[in-house]
Order: sequence, then structure tokens, then C-alpha cells
Amino acid sequence: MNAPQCAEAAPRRANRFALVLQLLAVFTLVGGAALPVAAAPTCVVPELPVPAPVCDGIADDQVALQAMLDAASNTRIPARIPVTPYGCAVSGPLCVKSDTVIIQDGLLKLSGHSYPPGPSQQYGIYTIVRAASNVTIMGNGTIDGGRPYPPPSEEPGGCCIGGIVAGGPVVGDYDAGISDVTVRGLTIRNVPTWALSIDGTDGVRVDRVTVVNSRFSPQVGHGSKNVIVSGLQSSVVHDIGFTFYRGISNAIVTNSRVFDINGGGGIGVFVDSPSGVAAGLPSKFINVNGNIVYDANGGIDVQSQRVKDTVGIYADGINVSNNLVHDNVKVGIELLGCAGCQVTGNQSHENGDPSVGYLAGISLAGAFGTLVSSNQVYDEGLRDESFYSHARAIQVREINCEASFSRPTPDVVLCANGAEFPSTNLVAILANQAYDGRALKAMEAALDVNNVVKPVVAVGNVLGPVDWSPDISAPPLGSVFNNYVQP
Amino acid sequence: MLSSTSYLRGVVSALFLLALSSSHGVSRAIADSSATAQGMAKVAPAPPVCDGTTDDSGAMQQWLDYAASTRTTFVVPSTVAGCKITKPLKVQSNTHVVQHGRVFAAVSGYAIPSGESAESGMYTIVDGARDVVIEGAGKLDGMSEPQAAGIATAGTANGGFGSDVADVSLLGLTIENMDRAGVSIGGTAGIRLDGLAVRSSAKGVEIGRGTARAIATNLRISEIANDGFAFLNGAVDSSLSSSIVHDCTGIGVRALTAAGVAATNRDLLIDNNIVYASAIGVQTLSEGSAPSSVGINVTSNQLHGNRQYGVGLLACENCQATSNLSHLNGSSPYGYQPGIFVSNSRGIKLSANTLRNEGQGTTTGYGVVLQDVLSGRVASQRIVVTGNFIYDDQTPKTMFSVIGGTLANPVVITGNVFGPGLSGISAALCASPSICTNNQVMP
Repeated sequence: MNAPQCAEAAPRRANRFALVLQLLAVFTLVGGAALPVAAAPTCVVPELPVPAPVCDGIADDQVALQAMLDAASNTRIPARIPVTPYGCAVSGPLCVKSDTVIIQDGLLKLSGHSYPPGPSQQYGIYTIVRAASNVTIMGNGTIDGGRPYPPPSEEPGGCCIGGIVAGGPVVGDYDAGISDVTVRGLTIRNVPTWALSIDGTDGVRVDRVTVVNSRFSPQVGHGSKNVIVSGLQSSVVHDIGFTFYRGISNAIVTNSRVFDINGGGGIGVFVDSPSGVAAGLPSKFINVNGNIVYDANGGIDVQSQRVKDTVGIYADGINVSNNLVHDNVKVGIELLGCAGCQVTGNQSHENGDPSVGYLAGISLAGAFGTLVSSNQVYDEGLRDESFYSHARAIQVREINCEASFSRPTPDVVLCANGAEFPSTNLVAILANQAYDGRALKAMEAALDVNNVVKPVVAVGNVLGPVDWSPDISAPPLGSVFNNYVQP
Repeated sequence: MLSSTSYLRGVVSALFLLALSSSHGVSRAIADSSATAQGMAKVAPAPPVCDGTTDDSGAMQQWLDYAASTRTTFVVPSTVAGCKITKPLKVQSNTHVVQHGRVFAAVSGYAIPSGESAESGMYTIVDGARDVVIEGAGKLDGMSEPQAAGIATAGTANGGFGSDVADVSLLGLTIENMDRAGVSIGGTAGIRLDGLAVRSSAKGVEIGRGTARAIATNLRISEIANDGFAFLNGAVDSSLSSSIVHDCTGIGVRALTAAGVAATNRDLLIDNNIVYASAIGVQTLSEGSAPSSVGINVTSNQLHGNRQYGVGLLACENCQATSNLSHLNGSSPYGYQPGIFVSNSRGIKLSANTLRNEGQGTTTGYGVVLQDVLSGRVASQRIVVTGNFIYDDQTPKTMFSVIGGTLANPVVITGNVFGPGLSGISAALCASPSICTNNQVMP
């Protein structure tokens, strides 16, 4: 098993010799005998002789494929991963350097899924090295990380490598210095860590990628910018279906389908800052548009950090529009700490199940300047003879402190764990439609404004019928509620 | 020792690799073998050298012609030095180009031959062409050479109205360092631009001049000395979506009809884009007495950090701007710094937009400005501003007023929410019989 040594990209010289050796090796293989494959460090031009990939599904092709990728970088000739009945197998990461085009129409799999990169490190079967530029990985093939399906009840921490990783090995590699990365068409399945993890990259295109059975979220973040993700299909992820992680800017996720997510929300925008990872930076200027999310913990989830002894950093400029979110466990769309955000033109319905109460189609907590407009929210929550979910269509409250909170001033929410956030403020809820069309209604309120101290304006909405409508507890002075209740 | 199963698997895999090595040779131009398999008499030309020194124009042109005539795919050789061309390459009907490497304009040696269209690009889709695909992960580099443009229809003296091209796809390439436009398309029925990156060029992407049914999506356009993306002089039934445009000296995204042009930009959708650090985010404009744009839908975009304003509808008929998030636009050299600017337009709906913290570096930002500033054009009328959220949450504020300007005809401004501390709607706009009611000001 090879230690990952994906070195940072450096100025290269043409290495046509390696290519010639590679081709010679291929023809040697065709002559009849599969060459034994010796273990060697990755991301260097292998020593002579260069083995050819066997791709019988058993032999370790890591060294040979690494030679192919190195040759591709050196010669600019696309590396074509061989297409064979049993696929190619690697025991560790393939390092991808600048100016590499990889075309993979077959199967590339990790032989075993217990590869130990070390704690708090990330590698992928394809690992785009730091400072690399102009990398395209495309094709109709499949990357298989070997994770069992269904997964084991307990999986070891700090193990394994992911699908496609840019940056690292540190998790949260803000300064990876990578540019112009395209991932197109591939299916990434059975990955025991991140199916896709792109850090510190300027210019990212993720196009028509399918993710199935991944332990962690496919993600782009940590200093990445100018990012377009479209046509993504993500399912059976035991984390968030797709995430823009902290410190990302000018990014779009659109026309994607996220469903059957077992661990977290469907689509997430996060500004969190867990221990051991670089300090959080705002995630800002993001469009989440035209996606369909269902059967996740929540539909679309924007969250700011909630960390002890830090001042809250809000997501800033998040535009959630024209999405369809339904049948998620908790909420349809949730903004927890968002400044200058808007939620418009979305349809949210039938979210919430008996495991949680007080659900909402659209939930704002710690919203600082947010427009909620022209959405349709209906039939949220669940009710039967034994359960009444008390669902809300639209809910406005304070930041969701992990513990109780106090108010040193009306402008500040101070969580018991030390995190500090602005109060919910400057919220406008306009021209939405919210109702429960079921005979046995599970929606208790169409509009729930609860425990906020700054005025809220909710006008021109058409609310109900629900069990009660609206439900406003002690509305702050200056609030305006002028809505219509459906007869 | 290999087991028998492993040995058999190795043999099977080796056979696949043999097939692979025979069909995917490297370092040469590739066309699939269907032409010869079908008994066609055409002989493949010699491949381009692509050593960065040799002029590959002739060899590449021969391959393009061969690919078109045999309906095979021209795979441009990928080399370290790239393929050098000294003149535009002409792309005929039924051409499929796959380019994963670099093609560049010869330094001090690239020129459009005398008598050929000045609109020509390094790939020039000839008049009358049908079914053209140019795709790949490669790069088209104009090397900042005079006359270098990226991909263009040949056009005529007036910009390509008569090109009569149909069904073109441009996918995935990076186009950079063009002295002219990165992409310039005219007279084309049915074109798809997907995943292009265009940067560091005089102009970005121009689509128009009699072009219909263009779908431009997932573009990344940056560092453009003029406009980033333009529907130009007669684009119809077309869309730009899910793209990021930034750092343009000119306007980020534009629907422009130049003075003296009779063709109208109409029925355009501009949605879900992010535009920043440009002169203006999104703008429609008809210059001089050119006909107004008609049916422009600007929706769900995010415009921030642009130098003048977020969205401008100037000389636009039956247009709407909805669900856009415009913030942090405007800078001090300009007279107005609104989120949305409407001028000389009729039938306009502004709805469900967030306009926030405009007028950066000033104290004169606006949410919306309604003001006719184009001389000799119709006065604005049938303007509806409803359901927008306009506020400034900064200390100190850079915005002065929520809605400003003055118009000769009445407007309807209702159902909007305004943040605290800003001047209200311009009294001149609300003079009878205008309707300015049911707007809420937060305390």
C-alpha cells in the first residue's frame, strides 16, 4: 500500500520518454503476460521499467496509472483510463498535476476501503495536487471507492480516501492555489469519505456528475470561487447531499437532483468552523437555483457558524430561488444566520415526519436582511391519530443556539456557548402562498413569528387554511402583518 | 505467481488494451475509421505537427475539410507546445472538432487574409454551415495578436446577419487573450454554448445579428476589456443562464442594439447568473433611434460589486426584473448608484427583488431609479414596482433613497418594503395619478 505523496505542482519539463516507455509497456502486455506491479511512491515519474495497467480488477494499477497521468501532464495528451470488463484497481491516490485531461469511460476502483491517510487528511482516488491548473476529469465511467452498500453500522474515523479531491492533504485547504478544474459526466459511488472535495480552487465546473453511496458530502468550498455545479445527481449520502463549505464565493448550484440523503440536509451552504480546521470565512454570493431536493434531513440549509468564543460569521448574499423541496425529514428551506439573503419562487411541500415536531417549509433563524417572496408552501408536516407535527409554513425566530441564549442588547444574541450573533432583523415576507389542503391538517400555522425583538414585515401573503393562521407570538413593535386568509 | 483466474482476466484486459491502443493512438490527428471502412476514397491528410514552431494552419485546415467531408471527428493533436496557426481555420458543415490541447495564434504572424471577413475567428464557421460541434477541454489562445478572435461565424460587412448557419454547439473550451471577441455569433439558428471559459480578451461573448434559439449556459467570463456577454443587434428566443461574469471593463451581461441597427433583441431570458466587478451587472440598451428590446426577462440573478448599478432596463418594452439579488453596487464617479435603473421603457415589472447597500463609497445610492435619460426616445410608461425589499444595513449607510427619479407618466409602486433610515419614494414619481400605496417602512 502506497503512502500518498501528491506533491504540489511545480514547473515541469516535457517527458516524452515516459510516454514512450508507457506505450512500450502496453505493447509488452499485449504480448501475453501481465507485468508484476511494484509498489512505488506516487506523483513521481516511476522508475524503469514502467508497468502497464493490467486492469483485470485485481492487480494494483496505481503505479501504472500514475505514470499515465504524469505522462498526460507532461505531454498534454489526454490520459485514457483503460476500459476493461473488470475495471482498473488502485490501492491509493492518483495524483493529478497541471494541464491534465483524464478521460475515463470505464471502472476505476479502490482496492479495499481501509486506506489510512492519517487523521484530518483528505485524498481522493484522483487527487488534484496543490497549485495545479487546467485539469479536466471527464467521461462516462465510474469511480468506485469500495464502500459496502448498505454501509456498516460503524465505520472507522480517519480512514480511507475519497473520489475526486482537489487540495489537501489538510482538510479545509483554503490556500491550495488550484485553478480551472472541470469534472464532467462521471459516476462516483461507494466512497468511504468525500465523493468530491474541491478546496482552494478558482474556477470550478462540476457538470453532470452522479454521486451514490458516499459517506461524506460532495463539496466545493474552503476558498474556492467562481464555481458552477449543474446537473448533479446525489443520493444515498450519509452526510449532506451537496455542500458549499465555508469560505466559498461566487458559486452556483443549479438544475441538480439531490435525494435519499441519510445524514444531513439536501443542499447546504455552511460557514461553520469545526475544531482542527482553519477559521471560518463567510460563504457569500451564492445562487441555489432550479434544484429538486427530496428525502433528505432538510431540503436546502444555509448555516453560519455556531462555535464557542467566536463572533458569528454570517453567510452573505445567498439567493435561493425556483427550487422544489419536498418530503424532507425536517424543513424545506432553512436559513440559520444569513445576511442579505433571499428565498423566492420556491415550492416546498410535504416536509416533516413523525420523528420531529414544529416543522416548517421555510425557516429563518438569525436572518439579517432577508426577503421571502413568491414561494408556495403547502401540506407540510404529518398528522395521524397518534401524531400531530404542528408544522408551520414560514417560521421566523432567532439564531439556533446550541444552548440557551441571552440578549446583551436588542441587537445581539449571545449563545450560552459564547457565540454571538446579530438579532434577527430586516425580514420581509411578501406575496407567498401557504396552506394545508389536506382534510386532516398537520400545519398549525401558516406564519410563525416567535421570540424575535426586531420588527418583521409580512404583507400580501395568502395564508391558509391551516389549523391556526397566522401564529405570531408577541410581535415586535413596528411589525406589520397585513395578509389574506383564504376563505 | 498469477492464478489462472487472474491470468485469464489479464488476457481479456490485454485484448481490450490492444483495441484501445489501436483506436486511440496519441500525438496525431485522429479521425475514426468509418470513412475507409465504408470504402470512401478520401485519404487522410498528414497530421499537423503542433510543435509550437511550425505553421499548422494548412494541415489543420486540411483535417477540418477531411473531417467535414467524411463526417469523421477531427481530434486536434495535444502537445506541449500547442498548434500554431497564422490565419483563421474555416469550419464547414458536419464538422466535429475535439480539442483537448492548445491552439494558438502565431505571434506577429496571425492575420485575416485579405478579402475575408473581418469577423473571422480562429475557428470560423462559414456561411451556410450546419451541424457543427467544437468541444473539448482545450484552450484557444489568441496571444493578444491583432485580429485574433476565438470562434466566430464568418459574417458579412454588417456583422453576420446573412451567415445562415444552423445547429452549432460550442462546449467546454477555454478561450483567452483575444484581440477581438472570444465568441462572436451572427445569423445562426440554434446554437448551444455550454461550459466555455472566456477571459482576458477585448470582448467576451457576442451572440446576435439575426441569431435565434441560442442557449448559453454555465459560462465563466472574466477580465474582458469590453462587455462580458452581449446579446447584440437582433438576438431572439435566447437565454443566458447559470453563468458567472466578472471583472469586465464594460458591462457584465448586456442586450444591446447599436445605433443604426434595425434588428430587435427580443424574447430573451437572463437568469440565475452571478455578475460582479464590472461596470454594470445586467443591462438592456438600444442606442440612438434603434428599436427597443422587447420581452426581456431578467430573473434570479445576483449582481454585486459592480461600478454603476445592478440591473438596467433602458429602452426596453414588456420587460421584467424579478427575484434578483442586487447589492453593493455603485461607486463614487457615477451620478446614480441604484440597484435597478429604468429609463425610456414601457411595460416594466420590477418585483421580488432585494436591493441592498447600493452606492458603495457614496452616500447617494438608491434602490430603484426611474428616470428617462435617453434623448429622442419614448417616455417610460406602465411601470410597476411591487414586492421588492430595499434596505441598507450598513453603518454608516451608503444609500440615500429607496426609489428615486421622475417620469412624465404615472407609475404604480406598491407592496414594497423599505428598510429604516432611507429617504422615501421620490415625490415627483408619486404625483397624481401615480399610485404609491401600501409600501411599508421598517422602523
